[in-house]
Amino acid sequence: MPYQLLSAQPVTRDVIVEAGALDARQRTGSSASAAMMSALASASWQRATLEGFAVLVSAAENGSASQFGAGANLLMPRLDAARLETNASATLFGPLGSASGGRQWSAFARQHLEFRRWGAFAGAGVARATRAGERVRAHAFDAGAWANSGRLSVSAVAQRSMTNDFQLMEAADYYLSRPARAYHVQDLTLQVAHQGARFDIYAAQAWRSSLGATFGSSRAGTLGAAWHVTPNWSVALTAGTQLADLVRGLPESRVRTVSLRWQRASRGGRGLTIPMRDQVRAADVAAPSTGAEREAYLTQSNDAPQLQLRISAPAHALVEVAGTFNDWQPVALTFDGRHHVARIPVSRGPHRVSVRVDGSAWRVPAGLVRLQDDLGGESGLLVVP
Amino acid sequence: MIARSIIRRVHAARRTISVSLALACTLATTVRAQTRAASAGFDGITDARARATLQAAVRNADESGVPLEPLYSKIREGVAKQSDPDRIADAVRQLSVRLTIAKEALANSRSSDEIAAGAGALQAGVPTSALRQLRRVWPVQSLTVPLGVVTELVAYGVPAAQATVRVRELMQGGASNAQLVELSTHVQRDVASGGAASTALDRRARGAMSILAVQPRSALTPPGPARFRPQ
Repeated sequence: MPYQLLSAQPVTRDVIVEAGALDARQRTGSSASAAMMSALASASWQRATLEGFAVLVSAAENGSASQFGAGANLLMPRLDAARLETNASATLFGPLGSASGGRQWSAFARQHLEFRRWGAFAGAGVARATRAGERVRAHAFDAGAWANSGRLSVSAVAQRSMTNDFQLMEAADYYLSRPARAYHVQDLTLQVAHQGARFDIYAAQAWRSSLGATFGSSRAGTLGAAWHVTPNWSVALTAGTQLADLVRGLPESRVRTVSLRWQRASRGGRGLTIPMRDQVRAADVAAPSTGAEREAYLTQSNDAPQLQLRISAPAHALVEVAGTFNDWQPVALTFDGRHHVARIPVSRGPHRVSVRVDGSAWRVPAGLVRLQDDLGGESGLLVVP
Repeated sequence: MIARSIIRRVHAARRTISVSLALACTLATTVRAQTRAASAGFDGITDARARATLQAAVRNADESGVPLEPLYSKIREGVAKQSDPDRIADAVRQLSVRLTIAKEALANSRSSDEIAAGAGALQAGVPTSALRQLRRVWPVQSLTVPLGVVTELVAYGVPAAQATVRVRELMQGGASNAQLVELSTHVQRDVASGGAASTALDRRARGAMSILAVQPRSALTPPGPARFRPQ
């Protein structure tokens, strides 16, 4: 199959909207409380995803900022374990829509190697900014690895960064001990996360030390939790300290956030459509077509699963269905003018189903997989969630 | 003399009562057995020899502690399909063996549906070790649906080992029964479109895992080891 990056419609789409509040306090004593809102939209194809995001932070003073960005993930040809991640963003500092406080753009790229239970990555990022009349340059290199076991995951990232943004670094108590073109630091971040059925929690700890002419050190710890109230809604809390992000231009600060998140995954073409959490949407569960017209479906009616049958046969024919769901007592379908139909409540689990027309041999209705019945014939298998 | 006569009469009466009670118990047992047999479909087995064979098989299964309803269901299926009585008896014997194996593999489950689903999986070619693996992942939660999904995947042509591994991974990842069933639905769609079953399962399972593994993240958080895979 030739390598195709994008083809036809995306197979999955997702939208995430998050709104909340944050409270940040810097070492200098300045603090800010702000409302924030972010939105992310993504589309996935077989070997690529594209996403766009926007983040708005609005504070009472001049601490407002708006950030817009886009990212892409690409699977390498013939190497599903290798994924290239890229991201670019632009940040405007100042009241919404203006860059009175400065502007910044940044980009990064990471190459991931991902396997079932572990992965590794390495990447680089670069940033340019104009803030308070100063031209800021920054870049970073990182490498890390992660592993998961069941619901538990751990990760470690090592990063080396440089910047000439003295405002950002001095606010975090970093200084140059001698004339130099930039600050150089290195970080080590460890994170542990646990995903539960309804609760996710994570903890991260980072250490930063100086290199070369740079003087200073710091460490930061963060705790976070998310409560998935419904399949689409969740509440997230974070508290802790974040190190100054040299690439994004975020200051070192103690941060507390609370946010409400809404996530929607919509359907596309022939794509994977996993229902959110435990919710199965009505009329979305159906026996797949095997090329012939489907005769057996699984549908939902008032949250109760039903086996729906639609058999093409002459109007006067006697069409019957039997199976484990009705103790193999043949039940006649009714003719609705076009097909012989029936709706039969079924309980959870696997069921065997057979149909016959006018007393002929029992057969498997189209749309169900065939299994031997130990009686020399076959019956269809229907699995009800 | 009179006393002996009275005693003889009392003993005779006791014997009569005992016999009557025994007859009554036998009758009651027979009636219950006949009721169960009728509901089990035995009435549809006109061949006396085959009926006796079936009843023996059911008794053996009962003594082994396996649920009887799946056996009765198989008998009713055989009657509905007008199968040869000997064939029905064979089918019941084979099913009884699978039910016994499934019960043991599922850690002596007491759920009739779960054991029946396990027996169905064994019939489709799923190895006993697969049932044990799934039991370890969900030691308490019912495996009725996951076993059905594995059976379905194997019936589509997915190797049993691969089907078991993928379903197990999704179960460990927190997939719901509905998500497992939908995975199987999409695999069949891919197969119907001409794709290889094992390839389809791998692709769909990775997609399911990526959605299960998506971490809520704000664009402001530093990029971490994301596990979002395109599908």
